[in-house]
Amino acid sequence: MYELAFISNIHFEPYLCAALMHAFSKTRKDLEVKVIQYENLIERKAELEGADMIVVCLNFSDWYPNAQIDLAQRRISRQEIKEAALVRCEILRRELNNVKVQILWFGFEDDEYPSAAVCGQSPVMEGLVDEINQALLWQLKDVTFLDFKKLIAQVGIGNAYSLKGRLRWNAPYSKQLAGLLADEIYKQYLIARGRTPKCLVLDCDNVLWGGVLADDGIEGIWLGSDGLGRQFQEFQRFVKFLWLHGVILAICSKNNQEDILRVFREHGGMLLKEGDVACFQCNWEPKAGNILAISERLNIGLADMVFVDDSVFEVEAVKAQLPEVRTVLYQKETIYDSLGCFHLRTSVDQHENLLRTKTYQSNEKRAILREQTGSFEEYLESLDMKLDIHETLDSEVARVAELTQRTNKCTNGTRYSKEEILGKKALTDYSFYTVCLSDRFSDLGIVGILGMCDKEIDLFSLSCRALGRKVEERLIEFAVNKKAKRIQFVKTPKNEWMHPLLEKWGVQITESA
Amino acid sequence: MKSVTMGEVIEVLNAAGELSLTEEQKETDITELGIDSIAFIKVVVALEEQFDCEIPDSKLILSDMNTLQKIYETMDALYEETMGRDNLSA
Repeated sequence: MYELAFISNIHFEPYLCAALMHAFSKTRKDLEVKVIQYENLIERKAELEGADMIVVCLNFSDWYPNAQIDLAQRRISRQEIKEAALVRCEILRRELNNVKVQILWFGFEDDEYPSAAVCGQSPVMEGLVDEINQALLWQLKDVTFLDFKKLIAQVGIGNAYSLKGRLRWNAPYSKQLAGLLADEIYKQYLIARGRTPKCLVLDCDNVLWGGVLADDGIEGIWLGSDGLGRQFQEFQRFVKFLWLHGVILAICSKNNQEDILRVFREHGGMLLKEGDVACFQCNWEPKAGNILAISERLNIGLADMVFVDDSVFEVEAVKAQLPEVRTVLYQKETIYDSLGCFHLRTSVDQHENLLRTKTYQSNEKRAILREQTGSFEEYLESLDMKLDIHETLDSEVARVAELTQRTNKCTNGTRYSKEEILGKKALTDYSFYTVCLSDRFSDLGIVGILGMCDKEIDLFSLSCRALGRKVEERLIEFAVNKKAKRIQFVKTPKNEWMHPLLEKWGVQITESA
Repeated sequence: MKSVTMGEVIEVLNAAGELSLTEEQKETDITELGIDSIAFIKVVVALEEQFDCEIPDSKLILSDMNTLQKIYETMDALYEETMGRDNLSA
């Protein structure tokens, strides 16, 4: 059962619960929604303890219905209203202090004030609500703060409200807006759990630039800030944004690789750089085979890959031969919505991001070394690996939480959010250990996390970047040396291979749902 | 507005209110079965969507619509009133 507690000072029924059930039904059928009115929060506080997610969506005009009039008549100042609102929010936040789960907090909105009909589009109350939202963004710690006004903008002010609902039962928002709100809550659920494709595989001709490189040459392709090349540069800007938020990039193009690299290195309109790309697989072979090669080189599952191409033929061919790969046909009108299949955190450690890309890039050198060395043991020795396992520092919590969300292969199936890790870290009988790895080619940074309680392994996550060099065995050995006897294990098709390894080290597997 | 039958009212009430009422329970107080103000909102909106009508705000008091019989009578009266108005205007 997944419990979602929704706290508000107004009503979102009858639409929100049904919309949430519908949104979450894509991946789970066990959602239970508890609607808690703000004024009843104290007496219903105990119900929050069982919640898996808390959503706060407060309505400003319900709290301050006369704000515009009182400000105009100088009965109250902007500062007084702002302080009162911030204090009320802080009191609510403190009531949620003991609950170590994901908290989504939607900001206030002022679009429902009807002053625009007479005063035009000047900011309502001189932007007071925006000021309060800005202050809340910094004041509220450890919550995901979301812009409710953007949801209203998406559906349109004319479609966001229900006068009938507002007058009847203080339910001012429309069914359409409730649907968008539910979709956003579900998206944040996916983001918190790292349920996102990992790798974006891109064609080049008529995707990253206009034209066909082999025919038009580097001078003839369209790519720039205006004209026919603008759409492609804007798309590259978006792809760069995805990369900055942790998406691994690969290029799969029917071209000579040297020609493609020349564009990346020399064309002034390129926003994407060679260093942003983990893997180039450019030749004249069928793309399905190349995507398979990318999957193997990067050690990323096909189901974690998204392939973008402007050719219906190529997209259909990959879809037919590699059905696990998500395929997207590049069309300038729909490409951004199509890439909404990615669910990305806004805060990503850029140092880790860069390390991740460099690791993949240096895999080429590791592959060459592997070919040159005799046995696997000799290869491992010549890698000159340095494995550092230490008690997790508070400064590493966000990064290791992200790791548990991203790992699919070498994991016991447990995923923790930052809040959950902090909660467990506070327990005296629970220990977290961070795993860092480097070798002669690059520093891979944080590659794993181990969580132990008493003699049980509760959390075991190792990045696929570290696989293939027996690091997983050394981590199990470390846990056994720390007296681990059992491991909690949620079996998936991707992590079943770990069973024999754990059994080899005498760790008893306890399977859970 | 569409015509109103007891069967349809039961169906709507059971679906929106997550109940399992039968016609024999038409005098049962639904607030004692768990229908609170939030569930009442869902029931009202479902009735309006099912019968393609708007229930006057003056009728939307839970204590006045707290049994299957009362809900049916309210909807039936609304239908009669609507048909009467339509006939007059025709």
